[in-house]
Amino acid sequence: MKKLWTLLKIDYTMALRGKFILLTLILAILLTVIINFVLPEKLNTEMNTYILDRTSNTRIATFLNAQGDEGNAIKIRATKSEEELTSMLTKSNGVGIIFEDNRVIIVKQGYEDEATLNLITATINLLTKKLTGVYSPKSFKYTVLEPQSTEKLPFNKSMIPPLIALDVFFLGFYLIAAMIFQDKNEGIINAYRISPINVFGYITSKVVINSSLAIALSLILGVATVGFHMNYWHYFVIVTLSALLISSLGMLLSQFYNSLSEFMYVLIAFTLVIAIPVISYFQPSFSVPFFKYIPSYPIMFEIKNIISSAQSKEIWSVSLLLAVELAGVLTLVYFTSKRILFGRRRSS
Amino acid sequence: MIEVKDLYFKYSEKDAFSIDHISFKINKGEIFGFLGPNGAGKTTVQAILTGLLKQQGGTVLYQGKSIEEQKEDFYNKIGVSFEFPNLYGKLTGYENLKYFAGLFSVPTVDPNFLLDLVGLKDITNKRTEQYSKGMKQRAVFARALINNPKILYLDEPVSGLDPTTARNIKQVIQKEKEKGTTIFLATHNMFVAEELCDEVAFINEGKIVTIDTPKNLKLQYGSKSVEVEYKMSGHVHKELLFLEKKDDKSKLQNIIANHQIITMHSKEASLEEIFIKVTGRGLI
Repeated sequence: MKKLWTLLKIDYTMALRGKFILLTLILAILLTVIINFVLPEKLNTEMNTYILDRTSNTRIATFLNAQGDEGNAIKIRATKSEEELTSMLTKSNGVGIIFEDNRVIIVKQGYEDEATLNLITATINLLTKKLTGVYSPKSFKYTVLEPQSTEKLPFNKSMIPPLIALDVFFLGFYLIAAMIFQDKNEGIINAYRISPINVFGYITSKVVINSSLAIALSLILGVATVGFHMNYWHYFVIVTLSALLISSLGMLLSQFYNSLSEFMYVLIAFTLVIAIPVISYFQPSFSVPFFKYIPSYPIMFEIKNIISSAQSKEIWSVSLLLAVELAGVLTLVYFTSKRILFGRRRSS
Repeated sequence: MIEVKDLYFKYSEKDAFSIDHISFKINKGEIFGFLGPNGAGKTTVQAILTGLLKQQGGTVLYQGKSIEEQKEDFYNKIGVSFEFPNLYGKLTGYENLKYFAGLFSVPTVDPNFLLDLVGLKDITNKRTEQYSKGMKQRAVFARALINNPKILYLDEPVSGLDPTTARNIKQVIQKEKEKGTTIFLATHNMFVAEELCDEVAFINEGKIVTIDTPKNLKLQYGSKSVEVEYKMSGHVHKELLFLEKKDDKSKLQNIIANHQIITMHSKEASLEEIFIKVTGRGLI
């Protein structure tokens, strides 16, 4: 324990004087400001639809006016001429629909995605059916599969999970690599190798100090943005396991290299892998089963559940998955460190 | 105490031997000088003896037990001073020693005492990144003493130090020897070796050329040497010749017979001159 305590003191002092702790605090403040004051709670996704009714008795405009658009995402605005419609489209976000007796012309901005255009087409079809009396539902009811897990997060809060996932990566992976390279470049590893240090202590100290930075940042960010309206025990478990796992991965890979410039390729590749699940987070349809094994995936989705106070059934299974991955990586780190960092070398 | 038999090492298959089948013994409490120019293999031998490098062949025994079998406790008993200082630059001199002391399971020495011993008393609280190379070297030397080592490995401990500081360091080494510490001293400085070592080994291109006490080496090579200054083709030349060597003897006769002698006197050769004579090369 005395040796481990000594190593922890060394690594803490190095993190402090290497400005790692200052960097963590600055990052926490910056992200808090961005989430609380820069990002809006709600993104304005309202889309205006400008219609021009050229049908013989303007029955479309009459029908739509009678329906109203209260609560609809698509706001319908009638125009009197094609010039007015074009002018409105140039001033604001939206699409134009020109109804004629035998055809419908959709005037788009050019950047609408396929889903939006399909939605407009479906709406027009429904409108036609309603007008002709083929289909006339009295009301619409929305049901969801798991009511507890889909409590909607404000837009700014929904950014917390990916930000935490990426920061845990940055602080854990990048900074532990920086520490290892410092030990190598200053020759400290050789000084340790001729001392009765134990490898386990060396690994534990580095992983614990770097993970602490990521945990501290996550806790500061949690309190400053969400407040105390979430289960901090669950939050702490997920963040801690994730931070330990990412730091251990950083240590595992960095020991094979001698400098940050040599390590850059690994860093870029690893960043890309870690970032892939962020796409799934924002676009849930883009999800491949193996994503679940990329650490950033469970971190993001579990933190999202925790922040939205949803009763996640997966918290413990995700924790177990992270713990198993952590145990595997730490075992690898132990044997590789023993051989690469602390073993008798075959050359200097 | 330490016995090295037929040790060899090469950095890659294509290279020549960096250490070429060397053998020597170091008795308890003696200072064993390992002398040779840069690149002769001194640091490589020290790295193998301390377990930093894996030995490829031969044996290294500590009181009969192989280096390969040594456990954690072995490192409680040794102290190593590296040629190139390796300290945490962001820690002070005091912190570097204090934290290093925390890694040992044996009683350690007060860091301030050691830093005072090597003349760093006034800058113990300064970060070592602000130290000069000589200061760093002294801090590393002090760190090597932190655990009261039974065996001390010193790689060029006074290289680059000013004469006063070098003298202080030599005194510390002498005191360690008086305490019974066994010392392996790798250096290319023959004056240091001559002053401190009980026994010296000349190493050149990975091979040990000769091993003996400095006194015996001088008796063997230096007692019948002549330094002669003579004029040849209008220029003054100076040579140290060993009369026991046939070539040198005939060379002296040739100089006397064919050139104008300016000065000639017998002298005791220094270890450096003996090294040059034995290996045919200088120490730098």
